[in-house]
Amino acid sequence: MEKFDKDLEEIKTGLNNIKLSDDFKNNLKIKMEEEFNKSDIKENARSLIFPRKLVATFACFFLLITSCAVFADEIESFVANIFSNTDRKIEEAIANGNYKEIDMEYVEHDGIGIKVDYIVQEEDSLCIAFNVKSEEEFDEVYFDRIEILDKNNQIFFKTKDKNNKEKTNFYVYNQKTAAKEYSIIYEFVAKDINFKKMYIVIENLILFDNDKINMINAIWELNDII
Amino acid sequence: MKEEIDINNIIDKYADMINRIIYRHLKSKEDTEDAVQEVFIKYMKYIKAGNVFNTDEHEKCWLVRVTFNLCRNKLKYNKMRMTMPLNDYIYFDLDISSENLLIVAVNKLEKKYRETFELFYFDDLKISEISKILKISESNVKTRLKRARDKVKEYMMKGERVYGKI
Repeated sequence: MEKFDKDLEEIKTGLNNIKLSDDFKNNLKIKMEEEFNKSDIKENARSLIFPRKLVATFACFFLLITSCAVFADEIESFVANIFSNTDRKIEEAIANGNYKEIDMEYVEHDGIGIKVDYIVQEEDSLCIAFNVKSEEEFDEVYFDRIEILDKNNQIFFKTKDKNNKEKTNFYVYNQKTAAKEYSIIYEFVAKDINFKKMYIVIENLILFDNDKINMINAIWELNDII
Repeated sequence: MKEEIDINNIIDKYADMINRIIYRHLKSKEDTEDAVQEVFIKYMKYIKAGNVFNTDEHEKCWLVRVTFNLCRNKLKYNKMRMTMPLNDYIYFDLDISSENLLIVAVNKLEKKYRETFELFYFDDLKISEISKILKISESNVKTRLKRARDKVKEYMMKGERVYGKI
């Protein structure tokens, strides 16, 4: 059918004239490369010991379940900020002043200082509020590994230790409190908590900044906290 | 960047074809460009997830199938939002004469015949490729093509009588 072929040819020519511009193709190439790199970052993130999502989940649990913390008046605003919308027991604990403010210097490595600000210790829970300051600005900071020991150097908690599951549940809450300053709170729920002495070893930091993830390989030893 | 992924080559080979297919469905230049970008981002995610295309044909069929699915989803979305008449399948902006009866005839085909017809005649895809894209057997593709051709010719004959274009 001659007309069929003639019309088909005309349509194909018309369709072939619909072409993407070079600018569009160049932008498309950039977007594809960005997508590739974005995926790389996600893969890196998955390989980290404290993946962001996991920490975020812990934070949510922490906000819902926390019932142990007791802080003093002078940190009430700090506590109110971090523990807003949490259990009413927290408010009562703050009012009762059942907390310990830790007077210690920052332990510094690689331009990052870590110290413990406050500890709340009860029979069935332990809350440790870390303060992290850095020379550079980041969005979020997380500890890669943390080890908490008592006066006999017995391990109370160690990141990725199988025994943790049997005796200790823990939750992490992370917040940027000021420029180059971060608060990381660990809450542990366990039986018979009674620290006379406490030592904490933090190994490696994970730093998030926009889509970039960096790890600082160093060890921060925080001695004689209590 | 993986050395084996040549983004320029992928874009050069498939972008215009994908653009044409999407344009035929969505009929809007802006929507089409957004959708083209979406298809190629899906491609990158697929590759990044560790998938490998054994042949160019495999790659091409995957891209067209993803394009079809995307178009269907967008059309469903548009239908929900009532932003465009779905049955009005006219090729806007094409440099085609008003005497072109084929385009009117294709416009009247049922969706399954129209898809097969367009892939074969407009996009120059092989029977085997269309079979993979539409997930039907090659004999089924041939059957659809024959029926589509018959219907198109029938419509064109009617049109010729109406318009006196014989």
